[in-house]
Amino acid sequence: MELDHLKQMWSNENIAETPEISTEKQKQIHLPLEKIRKNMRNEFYWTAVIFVLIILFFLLVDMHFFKFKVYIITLVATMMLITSFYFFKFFQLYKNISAINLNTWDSLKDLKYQFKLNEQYYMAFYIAFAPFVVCEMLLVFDYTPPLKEITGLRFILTFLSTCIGTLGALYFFGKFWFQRYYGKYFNQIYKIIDELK
Amino acid sequence: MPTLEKEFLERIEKHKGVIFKISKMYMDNFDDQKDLFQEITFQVWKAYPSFEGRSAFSTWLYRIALNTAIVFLKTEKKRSFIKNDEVADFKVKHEDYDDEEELKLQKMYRAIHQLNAIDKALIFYYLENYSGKEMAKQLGISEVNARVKLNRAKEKLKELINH
Repeated sequence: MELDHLKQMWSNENIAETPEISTEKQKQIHLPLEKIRKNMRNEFYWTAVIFVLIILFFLLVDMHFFKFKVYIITLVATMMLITSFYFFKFFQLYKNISAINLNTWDSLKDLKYQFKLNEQYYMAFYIAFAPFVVCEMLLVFDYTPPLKEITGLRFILTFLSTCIGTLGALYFFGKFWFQRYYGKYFNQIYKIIDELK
Repeated sequence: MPTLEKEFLERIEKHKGVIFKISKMYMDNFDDQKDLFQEITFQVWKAYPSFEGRSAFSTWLYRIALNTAIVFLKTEKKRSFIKNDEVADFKVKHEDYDDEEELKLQKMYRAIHQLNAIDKALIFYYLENYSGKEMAKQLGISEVNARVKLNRAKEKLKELINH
């Protein structure tokens, strides 16, 4: 079959019936940027719910270390504030409409830029938790009886290795999570950009 | 109905066939084709207030349609345990298509489905008789690049159809 014949077939093809033309947004999400934003929004919601549950747990469960409880609640409440800040910033991104009417190259570049912006917010959100994790560990080491007893070089080594281990776990978990829920969409767009280059 | 929406619907009505052809090029499953068609019309409607008439409406519309189709994600849930190819084959046999052109058309779409998203866009512009210069402008790449890519896409398509 020759390609000129395809042209003829294409122009002769008569689409008698099409689906209904709709100016309404579909319920299902089919665009990667929307998918990423929906996933991130859900994640932020769940993070906030988990923080509320942690605060409630410390408020309701009777513990002998009153100060420890106050410190942890204060820390988690501050983490919630940080989450709210990123949540707010993140929602502002929704207002930026992707430039779909540009030429394909510019439209894809714009999409890539928006992806990067989302990624930066997400990474910043994750990094913001690092000092809180360290503080929480300080409290655990200072208030939990067996750990409280450790002193000197052994304390330094145990504390540092726990910090490095926990932060490392946070980093790798973050990477895995990001790749699983967002990375595949990023890769799809980067691949298309490469094809157009 | 507001005037702008009415004007939009009147304009897009004339091009709905081509929009559906784009959907057929990018999606091999009827449900996905329907979803893509609706996503395109929604995106065009969303962008419609920014249409300044500097280019033909069809040119502007095709650009948005292809930009949407290129990044469109298929529905993740499995719609059927029967593979799409099997559905297409069934349709051909069941409805007793004896029209050779219809079969060739199906063969063409099957071959197009195997191209990557950018090649599909190039083939679309080729089938719509766009010049290399117009294609380059629509895609935002140089004319030389557009011509080279089109030739490669045409070669690939030819090979897919004839084998």
